[in-house]
Amino acid sequence: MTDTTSGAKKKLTRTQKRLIFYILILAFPILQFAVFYIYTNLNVILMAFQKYSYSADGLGYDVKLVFIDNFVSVFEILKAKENSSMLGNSLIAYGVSIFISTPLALFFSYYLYKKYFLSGMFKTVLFAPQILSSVVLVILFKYIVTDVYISVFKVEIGLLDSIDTQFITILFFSVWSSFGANILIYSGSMSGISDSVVESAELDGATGIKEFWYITMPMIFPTFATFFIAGIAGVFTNQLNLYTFYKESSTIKTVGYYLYVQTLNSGLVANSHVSNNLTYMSFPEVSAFGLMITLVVFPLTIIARKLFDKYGPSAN
Amino acid sequence: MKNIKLKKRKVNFLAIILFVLLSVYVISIFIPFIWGVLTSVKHYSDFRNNTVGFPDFSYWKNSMIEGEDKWYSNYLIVWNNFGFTAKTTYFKGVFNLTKVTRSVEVTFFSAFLNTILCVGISSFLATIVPCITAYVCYNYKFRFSKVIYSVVLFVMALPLFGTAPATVNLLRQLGLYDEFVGMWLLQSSFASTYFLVFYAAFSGLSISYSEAAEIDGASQLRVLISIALPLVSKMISTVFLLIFVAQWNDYSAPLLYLPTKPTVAYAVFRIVSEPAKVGGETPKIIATLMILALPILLIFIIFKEKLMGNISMGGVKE
Repeated sequence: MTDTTSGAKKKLTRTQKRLIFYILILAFPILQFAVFYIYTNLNVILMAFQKYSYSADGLGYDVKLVFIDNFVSVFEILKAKENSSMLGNSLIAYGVSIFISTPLALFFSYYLYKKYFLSGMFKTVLFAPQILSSVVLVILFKYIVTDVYISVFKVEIGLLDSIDTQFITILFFSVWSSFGANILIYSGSMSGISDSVVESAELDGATGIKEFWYITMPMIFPTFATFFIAGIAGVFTNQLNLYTFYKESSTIKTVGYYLYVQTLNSGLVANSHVSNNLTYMSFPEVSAFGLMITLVVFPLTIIARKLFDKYGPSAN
Repeated sequence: MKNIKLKKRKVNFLAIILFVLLSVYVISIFIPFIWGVLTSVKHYSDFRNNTVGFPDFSYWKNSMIEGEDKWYSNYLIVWNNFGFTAKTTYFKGVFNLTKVTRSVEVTFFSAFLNTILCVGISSFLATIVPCITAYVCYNYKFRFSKVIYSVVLFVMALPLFGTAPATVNLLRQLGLYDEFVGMWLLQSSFASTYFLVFYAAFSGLSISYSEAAEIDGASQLRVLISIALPLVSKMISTVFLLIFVAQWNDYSAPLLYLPTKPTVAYAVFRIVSEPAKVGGETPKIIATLMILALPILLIFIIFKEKLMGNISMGGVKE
């Protein structure tokens, strides 16, 4: 008598096959996310409440839990005179991006979307700075506003050599090099506007600025809102290319630049040494600082999104 | 008819103003590059007397210094002297810590090799992981797919700060700090803007192709590789190019995570920050920049349409 069950393999159903494939494909991305996002960010929170010191045998660290020590020392360091303008500079940079870069990007995108004269060439040139490394752009720009400026205008010092013109020159650079991918995304968003809407607006006499303000802007407002809200986080990450301009010696600081330089030079153990006009924190102190920023930015982002949803124009 | 003719004659002041602004901007972009190219082929003595003008090649002809007698000598000198020592020291491991000290002599060739290994593979992973994740999330309607989509939106909406020290610490604990594998793993996240781009791309495809393939007996993997990925191959190549260009130009991440394996971008940054190695002269510094810029400009000229193609994000309302 043959056993019909022991040797025969049960065929998998389509759903089972799909499920197995689904699990196998997602295994790596989920594991990567779990380790490099979830675990890392939990570690940031944990590290903010830890203090490291070198162990007696010199082969590692002793760790102890502290309460608010790291947050207090971050406040002390930030209160120092050399760091006092950091937040202000970051906010000014954000203001420049909102009130100067973004309107220019929107108007330039509108020009490309309407395919006005030489729009193809302008699109290529607007995108070109995005392609090149910030090292190339910054160094070339630096020479233009120092050596070339001095030579052409027969002055003693360049624009980056004077405290009066240094920050505004750097802000100009950030606007000048910023258009790039934003132009593509805005003009791509504008190209999704229905032709019938545009034509009926033209028949009603709305062209130029009127069409831009009453038709184009409301239709692409979700894209604009996304960038505006993402820019709130950008207040604390924008380095203004200061590291490329000055490495660690910049007298002008933003929060983003400060965090990057701290991370480069910090270790697990508190150094608190001063060099290049900076007091260096430990990793736990940088984590505490990062956590403080997250707790400020997160509610601001939520509020901004709610305000845009409530008061922003709708496509209808 | 008259009204239409009248409208055609109406002057669009906005277009005129924008044309003027854009023209000024274009000129301002060209000026530094043209100056850079001209300066990179100037002899230093020529540059001292002639900061903004065209190069005078007679300085090269009259030069008595060996190796500085050709108009492209700046590039040769940079190429031959492109080197520095990259060092790092850290503790590796979790419980039994090992002190690691590395010192590496970096040349242009090794920096270029580092760039291909780091940027090439990272860019590929940063493209293909979100792509495949978006494919399974869209095509496999299990509940977890919605969770993944929500996670991506959450990650993009909630910025987290100060994570770099924790990341560096984690890589050191895992023994992946200053290793290419560490960089590859860091770049392999599915939770990026490009997940939404690919999700939108897959949502625009007909499922009849994959269903027909399954009826014919194709496995799920076969459907993915032979049907789905080829259908979005243009999007994959565009995204890969964008990420590749961004990573080619980025020196800050390699500086942080690969201190003894610098890429060309970091090596150039190091040279221009400490220019004594190439003689400290402005024309040679500019020539160093051109070494970084020219390959990317070439890629831009060849793949201009792909790089500037429209990318739409599924998460953005239209």
